[in-house]
Amino acid sequence: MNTDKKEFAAFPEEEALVPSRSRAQEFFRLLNKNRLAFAGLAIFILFFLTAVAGLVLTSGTKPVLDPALVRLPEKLRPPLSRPNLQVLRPEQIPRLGIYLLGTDDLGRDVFARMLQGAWVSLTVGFVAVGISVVVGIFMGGIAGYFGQEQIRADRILVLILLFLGIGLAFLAHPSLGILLFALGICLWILCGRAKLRLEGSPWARFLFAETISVDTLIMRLVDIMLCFPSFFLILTVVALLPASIYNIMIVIGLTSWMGTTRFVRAEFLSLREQDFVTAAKALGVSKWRIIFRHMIPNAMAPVLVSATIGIATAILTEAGLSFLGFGVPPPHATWGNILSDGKRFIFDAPWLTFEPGLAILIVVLSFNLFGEGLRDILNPKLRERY
Amino acid sequence: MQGVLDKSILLSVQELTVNFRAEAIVARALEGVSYEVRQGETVCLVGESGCGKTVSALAILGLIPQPPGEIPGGRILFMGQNILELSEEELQNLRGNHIAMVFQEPMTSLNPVFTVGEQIGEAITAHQKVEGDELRERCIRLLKDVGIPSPAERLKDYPHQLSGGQRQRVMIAMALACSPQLVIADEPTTALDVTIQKQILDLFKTLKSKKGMSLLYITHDLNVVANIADRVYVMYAGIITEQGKKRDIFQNPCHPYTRGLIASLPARSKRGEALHSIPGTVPDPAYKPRGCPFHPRCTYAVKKCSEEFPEMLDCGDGHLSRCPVVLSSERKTNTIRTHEGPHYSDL
Amino acid sequence: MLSFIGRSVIQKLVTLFLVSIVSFLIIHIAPGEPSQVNPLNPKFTPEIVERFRKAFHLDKPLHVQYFYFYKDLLTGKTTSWKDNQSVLKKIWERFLNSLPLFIVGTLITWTISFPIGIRAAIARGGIYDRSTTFLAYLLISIPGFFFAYILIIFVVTRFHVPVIGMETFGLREATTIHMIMDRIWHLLLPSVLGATGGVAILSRYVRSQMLEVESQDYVRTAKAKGLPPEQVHYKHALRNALLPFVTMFGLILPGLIGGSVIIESIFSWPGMGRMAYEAILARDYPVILTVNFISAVLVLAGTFLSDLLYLMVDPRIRL
Repeated sequence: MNTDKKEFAAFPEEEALVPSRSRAQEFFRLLNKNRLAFAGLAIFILFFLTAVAGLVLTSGTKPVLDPALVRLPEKLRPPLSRPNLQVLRPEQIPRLGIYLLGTDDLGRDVFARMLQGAWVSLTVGFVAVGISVVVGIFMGGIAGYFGQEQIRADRILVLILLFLGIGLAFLAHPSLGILLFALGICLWILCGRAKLRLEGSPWARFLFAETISVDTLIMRLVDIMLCFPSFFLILTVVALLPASIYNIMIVIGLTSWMGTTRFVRAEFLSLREQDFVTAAKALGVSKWRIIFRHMIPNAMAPVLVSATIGIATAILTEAGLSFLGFGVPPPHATWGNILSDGKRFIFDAPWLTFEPGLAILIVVLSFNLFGEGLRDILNPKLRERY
Repeated sequence: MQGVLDKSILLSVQELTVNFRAEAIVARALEGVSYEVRQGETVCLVGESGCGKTVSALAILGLIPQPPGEIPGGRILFMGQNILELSEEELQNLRGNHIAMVFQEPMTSLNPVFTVGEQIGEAITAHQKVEGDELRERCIRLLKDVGIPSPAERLKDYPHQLSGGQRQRVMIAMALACSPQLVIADEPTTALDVTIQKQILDLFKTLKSKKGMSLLYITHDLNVVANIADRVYVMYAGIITEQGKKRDIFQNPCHPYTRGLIASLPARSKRGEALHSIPGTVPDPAYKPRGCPFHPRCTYAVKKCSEEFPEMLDCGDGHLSRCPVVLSSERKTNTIRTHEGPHYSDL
Repeated sequence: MLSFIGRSVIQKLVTLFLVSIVSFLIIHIAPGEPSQVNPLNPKFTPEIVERFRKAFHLDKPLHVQYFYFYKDLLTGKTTSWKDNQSVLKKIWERFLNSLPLFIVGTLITWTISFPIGIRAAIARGGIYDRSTTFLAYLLISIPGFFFAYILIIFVVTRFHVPVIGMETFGLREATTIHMIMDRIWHLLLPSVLGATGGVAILSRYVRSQMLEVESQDYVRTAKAKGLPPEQVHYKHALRNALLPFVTMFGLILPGLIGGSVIIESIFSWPGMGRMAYEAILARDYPVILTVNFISAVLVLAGTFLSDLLYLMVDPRIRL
């Protein structure tokens, strides 16, 4: 019997029968399985390379492919047509020797314009979503982790004074504004100093009264933001601000963080109660380390998914704005304004509508597919074990 | 047909194999499982979680989702009829009417948006033409049978208004609605408090003697087995490892796995000792070890165990075990020794 | 119950108040003054601008302006800066124009999405499921204006019917039946376009809800009772899957005033969206703010309504 037992110890590898994979391997295996998501990723990478190439090829004083070069005799040429060499000056001849995607009503090379537009779409998508994700994680994280803490009345007073001061200083009464601002700072310092001394007096009861929780404050802010019809709000702000691509990115970003905030808050609220967070607290891990090392990585999955889909939405929004004439100022080309310019020639030069339209469709579709694929892959509930 | 030969056999599962397939990977949930339930008998299926008990119960009701599940072999004879060959309509007529099931989680197994009365009534009207006051009367009688106080009022309650024990009673009432010949209870007390567990178990015993039905009771708890079973099947990793009458299994377990399970029970005779535990876990059904699936965790294992799949061996009087090592080593000395584990009357 | 309603109403009113402040600030803090509506217009002499500023209280400090504006709004006396017409009257006219689009679009969305989503969920992984899934992604991803042009080209070249505007110009002489057909053709394209995104999103949502519910234990219980598949799917599963959609009825409400800027401007449809767009172009602040205020009221009323509906349909929630 004893000898038998020793022999048993000779095959411990039986324990490790389930093949072990690293997280990245697992990720790619699942991605491979989801063919639509994989196609989405491939198109996205292709789009990224195109956009970078577009930036390199079309910018500078002497670009390789000039998107702004007007050739009036060569207007509305269909795709793949050869340039008429007799009417063009040497510098007007397209580099490729062919109008790959045709020309528009001013004889500009649509291929060069599409390349230039690709970079705009890419940056708008990423910067806008970057802004919304950062704001969203920040707000959601605070609401989820510090949500139960109450804001004291004096803090609110200080904040009101500071904001009012800044507002007035810039708008109507600079002197009064600065006075209010200074008053706010004084009150802040005073309240910090006097807290101990004033303990128990009726003043303190008023000043240091707990008003509302951080969570309520942030969630009310989300409610307020959600009251605005989003495209209408973006349109209003973009129309009021000077036309610039950066304004568009910032406005789209600042009007779309609410979803992320809600996700992160919900995720944080449930993570807070999880045993591994309690364990980390019991081990004396610092608050910020718990938030950054233990909670944010676990809350990232839904954020990543909504960010990917958010990029698709942002690209669509920018295209819509460009279409309405609120986008990037001409002569800079974007897919939206190529389409918008082309709509007058919809029956004579349909390529001016179809090329940018299909480009937007394909890119947005790839982001949506990849985002949905990510959702399936990152969701442990849906992940099949085999 | 075997089932026809012996009239007393109500359900006979023969060499049932169930796979779950995802791409190229096949999880073999059941591999040639055979057991039978006779008229008026209580049979227990015992084993750790993940060893295929629930799958075998779902197979009996034809509730294995296909795909990803598939049943490449075996027969399930119920009153001489192969359930696996029945059409969807015939299965519907079988479910609830002849074979009923009580699930593990009374919290989630009741539909939250329908009242108790609606859900019990539905179990009756699915198979019988009963209406109006008569239906109501039958629902009330069923609730009274399962020991729910003031049943007439409870009919209008939603599941969330009942306690866990009461919900499980409602589940049992639903299962009994059409007086089925066989009730399958899949760990019906696992999710309940210990005191409620005892009540539900007693309820099963009284109902069984009153209605004369057969009970296939699935559990991982040997205490429950000792309390309720006539015969016991021990399952491990999709196979039956040992089977026999309750007395044989508890007093003379012939498989190391059964011995391990019994040894890990707390008992009066072992007071003060550290509790035994079986090392390791149940293997992943897609990556089962070669040979005897239990050998990596087995203290009796010899080299042969990792090479040959063990046959079912007779220990006498309907007591079968799949461990040649234990049988040969102990029969040689000719003393089928009584295990030092607890006597079942201890439990 | 009453305390819930009371608390909820107070909360919504506070939110509305804050929204009114925020929207007012956004408009007024942004660079550019409404009195400079058109500096090149020779009619805008400094005196006229001054009078204009006085008439609309623009010479007062911001908080006074805020007070004046919302007093006017609540008493229904707000007038447009552009043409001195009553804003509420303007909005009402445009609202009536947008209403048919909204009704047809919503009907299309809600009647098509449910059968598609439910069927896809029940036949999960099949060819029907996969093709509707892909189609849904396609419809979500297609830019509305691009899709509009594809449909216009298709309808105009195929059926030779005009689709731009609310009706064909100069059709007075035609018979009634002709007129009705004309109106329907004009209504059809914009409402179909307005519904596409909704159909795609809603049907996906129905599908995922249905899948979630189909894997619940109580569905297995229903099957184990021996219920026929129709009862299992359409009674036990669907009833639970529908719960979240009841709340979405409330969320239709804001759509009443939204209208789609892009679709209405492509089809020259004189609806709400177009009016808001024109107001933005003209910096007609009273119109912009009023539209915003009304839509905020509708959003809040919608969420309130959906909370109430949820209370009614889910037996688990009792106050």
